[in-house]
Amino acid sequence: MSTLEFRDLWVRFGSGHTAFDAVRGVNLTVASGKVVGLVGESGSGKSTIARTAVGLSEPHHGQILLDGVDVAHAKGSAVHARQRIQMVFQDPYSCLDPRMSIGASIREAIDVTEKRKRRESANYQPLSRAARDARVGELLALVELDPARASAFPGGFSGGQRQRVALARALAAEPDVLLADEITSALDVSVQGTVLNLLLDLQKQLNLTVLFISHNLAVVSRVCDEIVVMNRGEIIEHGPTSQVIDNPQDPYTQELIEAVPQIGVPLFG
Amino acid sequence: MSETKLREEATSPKSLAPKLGKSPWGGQWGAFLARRLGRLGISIVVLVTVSFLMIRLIPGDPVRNALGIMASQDVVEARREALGLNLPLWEQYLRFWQGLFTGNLGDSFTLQMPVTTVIGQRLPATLEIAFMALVFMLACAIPIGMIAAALTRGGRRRGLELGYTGVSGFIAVIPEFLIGVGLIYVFAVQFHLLPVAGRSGPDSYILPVLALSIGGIAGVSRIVRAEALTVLGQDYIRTARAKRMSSWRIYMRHALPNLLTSSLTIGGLVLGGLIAGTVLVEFIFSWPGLGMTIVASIKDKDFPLAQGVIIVYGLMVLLVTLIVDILLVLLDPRSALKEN
Repeated sequence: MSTLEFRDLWVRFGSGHTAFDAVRGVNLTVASGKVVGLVGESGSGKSTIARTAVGLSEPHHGQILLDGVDVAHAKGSAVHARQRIQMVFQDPYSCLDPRMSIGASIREAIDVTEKRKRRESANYQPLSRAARDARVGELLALVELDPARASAFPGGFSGGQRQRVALARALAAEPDVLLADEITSALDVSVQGTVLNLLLDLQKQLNLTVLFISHNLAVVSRVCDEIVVMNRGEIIEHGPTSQVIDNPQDPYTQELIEAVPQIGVPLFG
Repeated sequence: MSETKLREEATSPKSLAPKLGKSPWGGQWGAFLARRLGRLGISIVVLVTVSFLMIRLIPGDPVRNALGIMASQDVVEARREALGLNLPLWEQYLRFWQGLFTGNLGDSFTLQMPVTTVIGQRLPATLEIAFMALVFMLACAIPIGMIAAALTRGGRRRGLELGYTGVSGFIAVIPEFLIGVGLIYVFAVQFHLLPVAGRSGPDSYILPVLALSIGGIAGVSRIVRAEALTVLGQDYIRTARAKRMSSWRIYMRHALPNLLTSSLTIGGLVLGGLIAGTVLVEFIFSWPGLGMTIVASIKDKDFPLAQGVIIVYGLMVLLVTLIVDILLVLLDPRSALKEN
């Protein structure tokens, strides 16, 4: 039950005359329990928005509010609010530590979550070691992986399986908001479908608020309730999925939709 | 899924880090100390031999020098005999070692006192300013370097970066004695704020310590800044920032310990230079330390005294390097393995 809100967000890389504004005055609300798709070409600032929300980049100006708490400028106990936002990264090959078993990766997130719960309510009873290990198995089962493989290292998994491990790790933190940054772009089409279905199931099951970043309009139109189109760091169109797909207003959006390849239609000519 | 196995996996990344022997006196530690002490022994033998030979290769007759040109040839010969200077070189060398082990470095020709007494009188004054200069240097260089790195990280404030590297590079290459003369001119001659020279009250320490440490502050702070920039670019610093850790905590707990090892390595080298610098600085400030003694003893061909002082200086540098090496291994056990 949480709303993620970006208010007049600017993100700047570099300084002086080499400064570049990757995100320029973005206002965006991801309503509680909704899946919002963020589309745009490479370099349009999609990923930067997500990275700024989890703290990997610093906002130059503006606020990122999670249920009214500014997570980008949090001080004191509010710094832990950010833990309720979790991110799944684009590259399933580099986002897992190759020297940690997948069970250990997930277990690490569980430990932090238990600490957070303890902090949030004084009479919370943290899980025992055995219960935490069992939870690793539950999470793996949730993303349709064999819990018996918890002690295996990421090297033994395929790209799609790793992406599911990354998803399980994000879910281990029991987030309210999930940022999915091009989670299917490194996967082939058949595996893409599996991971997307899984994400949608989990979203309904856990009532997650999801910001789904992609450059693939076909994927976005299938997954999202709303679509936001970005170009050169600015939002140029925002509306319900059907409206944006069927009746795009901005010429750039029209171009994007026309650019989706269709089987049987030649690309040129 | 076996639970114990999972726990083992959870701790496995730690076991990949290089480990030294469990007891500080066994395994890698023992090997490191043995190797390090062996090298110290060799250095000392070289130091003693070179200081013994060097002083005898300088042309001129020390006895004639000490007795004056008016002394008769017989008196000079008798004195040479008494001092053992007519013995073959190898026998003088053996006697020298013998003296070293019995704590007898001979008598000074010019001062008519045992060399050990002279060193005992002069060493504390030198150690005082060397130690104060070292503490002052580290206390200034590390914060300055870190602040410079924090302000200029990631290409921020190009102007400040240029100004800082320019000024610190310029100061770092000025020799101590020029800085010393400059300090005397400004603070003692022009403004009469501090004494010109000598060792009288607490205020007489200020200028020599400054003269010794200013160059080091500029040089070491540059290295600290370069190291800090590397450390601040690491992933774990980005993670700490993402966790909204306070900047103070990031700099103190995450950056500082990681830049200390490399800064300390360079700091050890600088310290050797600092001890050498005391010779010139003491001369300029008429500081009654070993530096004044070494200059006078070489000028007067006072063999025993010059040898003794050179050995003390050499031992100081060797000791400092040993302490730095051991500190390095305590801070970062990998440096013991790197030597292999």
